[in-house]
Amino acid sequence: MALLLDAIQISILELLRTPIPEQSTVLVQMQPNKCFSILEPNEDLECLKTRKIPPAQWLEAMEKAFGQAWFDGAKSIIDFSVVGSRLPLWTLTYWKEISLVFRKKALWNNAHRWLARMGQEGNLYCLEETDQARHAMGALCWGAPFHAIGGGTGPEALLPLLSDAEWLDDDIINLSMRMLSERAQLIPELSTSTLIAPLLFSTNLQAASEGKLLPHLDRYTSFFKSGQRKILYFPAHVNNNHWVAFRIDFKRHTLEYGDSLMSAPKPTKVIQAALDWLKKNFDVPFHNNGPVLPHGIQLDQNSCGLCVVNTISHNLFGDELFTHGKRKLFRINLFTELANTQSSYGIAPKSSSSRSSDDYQSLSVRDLLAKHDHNYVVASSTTASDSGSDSRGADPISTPQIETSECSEIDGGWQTDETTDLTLPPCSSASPSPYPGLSDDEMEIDDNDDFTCRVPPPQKNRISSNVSNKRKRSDSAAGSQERQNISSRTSNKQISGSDSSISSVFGPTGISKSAISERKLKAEMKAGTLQIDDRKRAKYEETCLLSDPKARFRYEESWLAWHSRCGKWYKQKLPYDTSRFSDHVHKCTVKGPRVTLLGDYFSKPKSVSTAAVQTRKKNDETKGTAKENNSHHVPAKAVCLGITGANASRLPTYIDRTGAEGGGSRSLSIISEEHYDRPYSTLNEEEKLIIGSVTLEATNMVQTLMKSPSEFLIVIRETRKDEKERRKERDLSVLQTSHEYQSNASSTI
Amino acid sequence: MADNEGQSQQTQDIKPQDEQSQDTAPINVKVVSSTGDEVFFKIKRNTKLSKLQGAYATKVGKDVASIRFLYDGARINDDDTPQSLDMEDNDTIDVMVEQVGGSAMSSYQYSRKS
Repeated sequence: MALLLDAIQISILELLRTPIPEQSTVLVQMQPNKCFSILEPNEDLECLKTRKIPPAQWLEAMEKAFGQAWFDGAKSIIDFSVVGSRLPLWTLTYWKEISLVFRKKALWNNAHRWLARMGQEGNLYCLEETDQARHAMGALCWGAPFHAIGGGTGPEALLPLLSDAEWLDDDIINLSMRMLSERAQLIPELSTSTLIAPLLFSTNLQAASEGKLLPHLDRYTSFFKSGQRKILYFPAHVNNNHWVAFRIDFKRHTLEYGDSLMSAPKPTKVIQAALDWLKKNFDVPFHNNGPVLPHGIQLDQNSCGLCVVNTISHNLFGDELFTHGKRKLFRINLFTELANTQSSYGIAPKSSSSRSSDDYQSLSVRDLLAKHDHNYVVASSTTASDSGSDSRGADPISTPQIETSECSEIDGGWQTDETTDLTLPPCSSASPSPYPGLSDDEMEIDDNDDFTCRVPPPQKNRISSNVSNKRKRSDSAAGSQERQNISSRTSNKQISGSDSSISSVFGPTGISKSAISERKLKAEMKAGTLQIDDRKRAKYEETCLLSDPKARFRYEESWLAWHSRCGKWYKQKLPYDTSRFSDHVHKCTVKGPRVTLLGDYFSKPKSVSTAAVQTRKKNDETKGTAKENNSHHVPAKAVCLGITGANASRLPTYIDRTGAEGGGSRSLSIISEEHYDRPYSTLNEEEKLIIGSVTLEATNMVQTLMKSPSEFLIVIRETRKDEKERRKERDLSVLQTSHEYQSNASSTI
Repeated sequence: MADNEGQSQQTQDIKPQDEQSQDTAPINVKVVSSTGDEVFFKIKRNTKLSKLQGAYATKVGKDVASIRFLYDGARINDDDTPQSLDMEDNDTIDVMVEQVGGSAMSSYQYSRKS
């Protein structure tokens, strides 16, 4: 049991396999305050394995009564289910924790049963999908937070998908939008034309129509005004009970939506809010085309969430349209896709772990065994209340790991022109923003062609005059950092501008082959006459993709590679040269669900810069503290599922071919040497046939192993006997030969 | 939500101002609901934002699990602090309530159907 509570990282399937005591539902008549005893406990941990967990209401009442009982000198808990049994006080904490595990297990058990039913009740069409969903469940840790959602939410947020009629909530819709956005980013045409917004957009849209000013909507406005993307998809929550997908086409100036429920009233509020926003911020009038966005039809009262995701994916990627008959299949598929987003994050930093998981680790039974202290129970049971805040506040805070040297390396970072389609151009510095929530750094980035706009303006556009000293320092530090970058860039340009100056300053020009070809490439690049070798380029892309499978490439005046984790473009030193990008990927410390894709959740450009500056500042001041912070980033354990057919469709074929004839079998010439002491080529047809049968025997052995292992063992034993006899004969012959040689030698002497 | 958040422009002191060091210096954080109502909090830079979330949920009378707190568009984790998020004075935290959807039927229609 101790292992169970410790192992919050075990997979859901493993949790389902682990036996846990059931929670009782009996009505306990004993008053909670009478369940404490001043006598010493007479039971230990072992007895808890076989006893049921008390009912949840009784546990809550006991929790409330515990404080006073402890003051009264209580030393044990009277177990109402067993006469004369007194349990240690920490059993209360154990019951609380194990009942949480029990509840989560029950939830997943229901989902697992539902999946099994889907695969059994004649629904053979979704057998493969249920297997994939079960596979995804095996990859999810039941107790770990779901990083793709954030906010300490666990994987149970996906449970509504594994049921017949559960409504989908905003977590699932937001996560789906994020998944679609990531998918669209991998398609070059869509990544430069389409944006998929999360629910926050439509919420802000409706608030803005009521006269509220919200900074996020302002960001979208300035982004679409710059004309970088032409199409915007977004989901909206309508009438407090319905999901609808919308599309705004900024090229054709149209607003369209797809409502899966035909009988539903028009989503007039959202339409009006969107039209108001467009009318206010864009000069061209937009036309409402109505429900013309191709969409599936729901015939039930609970599939609109699925339909919203499907409508967007159908219009973007041409996915199969939702049909009522396949609604369960769509649910299973969406669960699998969303669950896989968690595994795509790989190792997660501990900083994003939820409070519950931390508490879980601290409240393991092993710890309880180590600390037979009543105070321990008090401290742990009040972690959620205010009393624990001071100690929690004093805990070392894990800050995002951002490499300090990265700041100077960012020549393709968010300040440069190359990132225009990936990071959001914030409000213009010329127009003062009324939102104090927006950072100055974001304000400073303006039109990317204007270089001077990157330098922080002397006057800040903040409403609050009470700007902290620290802020000013960070601003000045950021400013100086940018100036440094600018100066370094200009100096680089000067150096690369003339090769003769390089040779005069840095000594004689290299005459090695590589140096010559490097210079040639540089010159061709500069002159714009570089003819790209497809083979070399493929190799270059392959090498970069090894470092970052989601990397993207641009072949312009200089070659650029995009790192998906930190969302920045990196300029390569030379064509076909991957060293800069690979170096960055190895050094990049941006981890976890750092979102760089426009459209789902806007990444904070300012956090990259200011955090980097702050981290550097901290490192300069107290390196020890930084190390201490870093030491708290313990990578979470991930469940290894091994390689299966789900990873690659041809994998089973490869596995089947492993024991194929020919590859790895013994050489015919060696066998012929063993049998006839002659090379294979000198054998006649009959002898060759015999040698062939020997190789066939070996093949048959493998086949026997596959059919019946017992027979195979017999064959192996016989073969080993034969080999032993052969070896004996060989040794004897060797001995005889050596004797003959010795006798000959002695005779010659 | 709007009923409970009607009292805008209110300030709550989460923690007494006992230390004035750089790290623990309190900052003002504005929590803005989806309806645009604002609640101000004064919070130390190293205090976990989970405490602010709890205080806000209590104030508006909602379960904290049903409210989503977002800073710069991203969900705030329970372990996050103003320091870890690089928050500055007068920064804004957006609040969204839990939304679920399945159909657009009104409650009257739904009750008739069932």
